[in-house]
Amino acid sequence: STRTMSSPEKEFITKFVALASVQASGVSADAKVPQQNVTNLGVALPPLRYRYDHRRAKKNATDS
Amino acid sequence: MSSSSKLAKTLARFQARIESGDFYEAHQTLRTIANRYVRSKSYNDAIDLISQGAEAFLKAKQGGSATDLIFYLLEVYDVAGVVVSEVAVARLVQLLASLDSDEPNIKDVATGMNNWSVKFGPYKYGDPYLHAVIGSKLAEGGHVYEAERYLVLGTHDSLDQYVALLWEWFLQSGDTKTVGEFFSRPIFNYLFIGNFQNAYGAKDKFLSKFIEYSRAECEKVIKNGFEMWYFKDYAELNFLQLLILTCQTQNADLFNNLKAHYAGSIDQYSGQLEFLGQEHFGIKIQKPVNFMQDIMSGLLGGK
Repeated sequence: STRTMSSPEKEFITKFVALASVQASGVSADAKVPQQNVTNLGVALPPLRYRYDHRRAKKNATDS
Repeated sequence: MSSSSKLAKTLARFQARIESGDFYEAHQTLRTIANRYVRSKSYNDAIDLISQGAEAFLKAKQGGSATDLIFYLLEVYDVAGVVVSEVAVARLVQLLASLDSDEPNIKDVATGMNNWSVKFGPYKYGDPYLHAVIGSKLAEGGHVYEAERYLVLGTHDSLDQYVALLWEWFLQSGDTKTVGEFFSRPIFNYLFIGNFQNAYGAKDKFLSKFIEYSRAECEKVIKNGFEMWYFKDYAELNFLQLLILTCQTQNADLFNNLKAHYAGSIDQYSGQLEFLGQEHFGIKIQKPVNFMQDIMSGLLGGK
């Protein structure tokens, strides 16, 4: 559900977004480094604690 | 007899053996003839023969023989110095598409194909189109971590597949509270490689699914063209959306401010944030101080 909420976090977000969004013109929202220039993939993300069952995924895709 | 008619004759003989179920004989014959082509440097004929042979084995559900021939095809690509081109990639894509996603060798096939595109193409991590198809096939076979690596460096379509994979995985976890762990993956992976377009794309696609599915209490925040969802009970989702905007600013003070505000609930992301700090804000990674090394270095007149 969406409604107007207020909390210390919401206040922080409102102020932060106001400040950051005026400075975000340095890099546009649809910017992307061309893949030919990608030379570092960052750090490997840790594995998730949850198992992925591809057979279940296939079944869900067929059912939906 | 011309080379193409010889090739057609060989393929017809091979096809007949496959149809009669004589797979071993068919495999050996094809390899022997392909070897002859390779020795005489008739690489195009060898490539045609091996790829059509592999395709025929795939149709006959002979995955072992097919993957053996795919590895052989990659060897020939290597020996012949075949550079990455639409045709050379399409040939591999065609074989991948026909390959059963449960084939035991599938990860090695994917690695072999990608290694060829790294060696003979302009991309350090391999061809994006090949990545897209490999990622999709590996996801289908349940090799999720490998699929993720390929999809991140795939094509425009890979974003949808990556989000769909994470979404399905999230649903399987059966716990709505885990959403941050899943949502963080595309955000970090795309920010690592400077792909803001896909970071925002992943944000929109994933969160709209989440809002519809969970009915979580949320509110849209819009300012100066930036849009995000504020979630009352999911601080991690808020943080990750703000992180994309902050990386766009390249302002280290904002980055530190954001981290300070969410300190305590983002400890699990310290390594990722350290990398982003260096990459987008020029914050040098602090190395642990080695006092003994410093003392010895001082005594010996070093720095």
